[in-house]
Amino acid sequence: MLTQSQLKAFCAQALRRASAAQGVLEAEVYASDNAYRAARLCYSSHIPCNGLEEPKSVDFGGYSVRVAVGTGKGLRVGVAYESGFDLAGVDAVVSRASAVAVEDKEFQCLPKRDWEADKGLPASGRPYPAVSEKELVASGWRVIDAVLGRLTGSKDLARTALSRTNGWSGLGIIVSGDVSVRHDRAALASTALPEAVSDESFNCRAIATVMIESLDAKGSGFEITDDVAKVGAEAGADAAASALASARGEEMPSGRYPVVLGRFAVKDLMENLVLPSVDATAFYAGVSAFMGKAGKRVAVPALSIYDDSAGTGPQSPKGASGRGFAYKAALTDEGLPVGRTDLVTKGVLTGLLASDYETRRLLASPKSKQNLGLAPERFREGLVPRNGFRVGDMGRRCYDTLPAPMPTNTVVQGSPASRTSDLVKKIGDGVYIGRIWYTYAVNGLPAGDFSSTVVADSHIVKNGRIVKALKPNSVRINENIRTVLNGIVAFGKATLPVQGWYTGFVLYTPEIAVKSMRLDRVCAGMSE
Amino acid sequence: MRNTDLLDSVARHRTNLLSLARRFTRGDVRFADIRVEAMDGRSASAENGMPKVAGSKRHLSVGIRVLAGSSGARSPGYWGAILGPGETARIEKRAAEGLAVAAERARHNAKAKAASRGRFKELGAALVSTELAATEVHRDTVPARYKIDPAQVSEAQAASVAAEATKLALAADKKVVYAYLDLLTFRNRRLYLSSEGADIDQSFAVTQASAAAVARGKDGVQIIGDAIGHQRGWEMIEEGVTDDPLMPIPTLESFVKNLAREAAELSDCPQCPGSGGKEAVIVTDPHYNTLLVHEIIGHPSELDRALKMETGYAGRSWFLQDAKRSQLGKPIASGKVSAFSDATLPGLGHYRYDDEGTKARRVWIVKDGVLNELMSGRQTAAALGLRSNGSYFVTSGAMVGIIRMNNTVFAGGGDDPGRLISEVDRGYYLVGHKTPSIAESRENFRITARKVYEITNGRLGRLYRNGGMMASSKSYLMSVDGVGRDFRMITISSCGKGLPMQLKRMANGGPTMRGRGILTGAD
Repeated sequence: MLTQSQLKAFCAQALRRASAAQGVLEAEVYASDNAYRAARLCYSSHIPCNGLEEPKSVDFGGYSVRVAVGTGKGLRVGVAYESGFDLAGVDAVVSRASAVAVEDKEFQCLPKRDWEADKGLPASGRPYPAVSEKELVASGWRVIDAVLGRLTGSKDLARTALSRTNGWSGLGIIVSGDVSVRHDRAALASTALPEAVSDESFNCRAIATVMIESLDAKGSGFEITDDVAKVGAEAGADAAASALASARGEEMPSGRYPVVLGRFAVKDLMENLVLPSVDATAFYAGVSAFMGKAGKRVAVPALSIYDDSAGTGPQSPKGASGRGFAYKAALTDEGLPVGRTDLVTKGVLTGLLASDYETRRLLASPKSKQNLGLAPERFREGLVPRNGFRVGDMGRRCYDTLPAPMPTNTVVQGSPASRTSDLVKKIGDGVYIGRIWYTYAVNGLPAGDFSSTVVADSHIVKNGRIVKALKPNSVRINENIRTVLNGIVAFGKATLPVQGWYTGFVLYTPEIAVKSMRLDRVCAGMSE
Repeated sequence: MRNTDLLDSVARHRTNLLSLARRFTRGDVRFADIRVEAMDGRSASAENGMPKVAGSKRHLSVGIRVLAGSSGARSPGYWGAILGPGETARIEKRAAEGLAVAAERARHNAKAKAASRGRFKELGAALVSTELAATEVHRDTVPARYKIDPAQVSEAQAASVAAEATKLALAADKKVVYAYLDLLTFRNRRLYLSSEGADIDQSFAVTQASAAAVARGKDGVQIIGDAIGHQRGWEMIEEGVTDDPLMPIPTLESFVKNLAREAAELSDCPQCPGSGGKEAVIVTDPHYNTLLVHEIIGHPSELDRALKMETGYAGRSWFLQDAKRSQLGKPIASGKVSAFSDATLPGLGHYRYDDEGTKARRVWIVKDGVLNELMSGRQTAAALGLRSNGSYFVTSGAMVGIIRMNNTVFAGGGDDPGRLISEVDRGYYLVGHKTPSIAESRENFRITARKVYEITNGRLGRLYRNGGMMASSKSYLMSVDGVGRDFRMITISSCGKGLPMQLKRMANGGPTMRGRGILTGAD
């Protein structure tokens, strides 16, 4: 990987050529170098397997040139991408960017930064070291060993294994998930900025799913850290413990139930329904679940949600907190400072995830008043471009996309905060839903309807206590996100980081108790 | 380097890369393969009649797999990189570096596997040496099919077409308040070279348009998105596809206008009330069945999922409990239902060889209601003592292959589609797929439709929006009592699987079908 200094130097030199090209009024060069490492967990006791299936890497690097050119017809904007860092090729890329320039009437200018006002804010991010081959492989096996160690240490499971013809292997133990490391370095030079800036993101996570198929048991574990040498054991042990706790689950009838949503479940609702609805692009297109609700109530007054990668992160007993947020970004991919954006404050929609381009066009669009529900200038504090990132697959910050609003670290908070046992007590007779899957806005985001399957870490609650496990995959949630947000009755104490399967951003979520959700019994598992 | 040179240049390295893979298998290295892909494409997007961005994307990618380590614990290691077009001359050097890194990973992996096997005696027994099922070794060169070379399309032309299309969508109905279009056309060339001697050079041309329309009606907004795509050149945008009877594609103009009109029509329709949790007779059209077969037949018949390798991500399969207990050979659908996956058909999922050199063939997943065969690659097939049926696919040369659908469909039947509706006293007709929510092993589903028509006394009645079907996969399939003869394949522009997630284009489809499920409405 190139260092931040090398990337900055490349951008500065490329910018000199771009800005000198004929007809170019404004120019921007963005370069990124990404190293992605992953070890996939594929252990199954009843099917021959490798245990660790894919120790692998994907390295990407390249740059984009964006230019605004003046023509007789007005301002045109164009962008061209190139993999690799060949300075000799820059002139051709600049020519391509000029040649493909289009008349986007909503483009006003490249992102600008008030350098004086930003004095003291970082112009580069913290550097991180590369990961060795041995560390990568060892981290994956650490998860598997932790799971198998925890399971074989269970006396109850040992007794069950003894009673089976095929012993331990017949239990149908599965360890799935990954340890993955995303390491991005990026730099940007622009005629709108006085000097080149750079940033670095590093994120190592272990996600483990453990099943004991013969007992209908499934549990999850998650870790996020900067330290590849240590990651894995905790996620494995947590997933195994959760699987053991969810063994021999039972089904339940369809109906409306009070629920406690675990943090993986809250993550899914945020990732698939709430965050896409607090995105400036969604308001521009008119497809948010909160159309016309800017400055108005969208949730119970106890709920607040904010996005931030500049602060220190919420207090929590473990994970990356205390050392700053897990998603590392000192600057956006537009070269602008990151910071806290309050999205929902005490139940009121107070801000949107925004890039520079989306902010400017939302402020200028004649449809914004209708879409936001108030004149955009009256929502100016909620429209600050702190989230313009160029995000590609694996959540990497990459040169071959344009900046768009993306979350970084989104924190869900509520008060007053209670212990898990108190949340369970509060709902009386209901369900603790730990992990859900395939949560989609089935009738489109504006309608707010969603459907999702309860897949793991879930329990039936009676008289304020967890009494038995809920069989994985036996219940489908059919609900509306607005009903959920307005039906929250209590929050958990710990706000912990979790991450999705394929996203780069991190959600810090507490458990949440909801007054009532529609649960439908569905057929579960394998056909016999 | 000119754009077309990029695709040509990789082929010059074919012989040396083959030799590199063959030479690398010595000592504890049992197998090595190298994938190289060059891609050259144009893209453009537009909103509300305005061009937003147009550009070209070209890259070169290299992916390596090595099986190495002590016998009894042999393990895989991988390496991948996206390179710049300027690095074409360095492909062989980078591939050699990649082989060394992948082998190092494989050896560390083998050592750790052996250690875990010793540590967990009974549970460690499942950790075995990696095997690949035997496959025929092919040498072949396969050209792409196109009339207008995507690499010769100008970005300005693509931008102008995209902007014009969104203008047409906006003009289709005054209720349409937002229109979006994304165009992509590219050619790619894939080399596959293995230590066993496989030497395959396949080229593809792909063109695709994805659109969305938002309409504001009396009672809120309605958003509809869809895509058209085929393995053709830019001509697909200009003319549609009329010479493929299995996968006809409308012109771009007709596609966006229809999408916009439908959004407008639906924005004034009542919300679907649902069937109150009770089963109803439901007739589904080919577009709806495209997503249905994708989710409840296609995905669970991918053998990596069935072997639990995707448990933490895309999920398992309701077809297979373990190596000995499965639904194979058992009825999982009514005798009217058959389904297959066939990469040899000329749809969006077409290829002649998969990404580990196995020749593609038709895989009959379901034959007359009985589960017959699952889609596999060499490693997954070996786990069950089978031969690969050519379903191993990567979405970029730098990625690790996984088992993927290609052209995966419900087979056509013999029933008149009109009669499947006219025979129904009371039921519903679902037109067009919208959004899925699927159970982890694909054993049940809720999939929404773009349009829901009431059927009363054999006639279509009121039109609803925001409706769909919810059912157990097996009970729905067993309930199918009518399969139309109006078979067609339809574009699925993006399906995610794997880690890192690989987004694949494919064709799914089927005919009109009639079965039973719960009609869902607005929540």
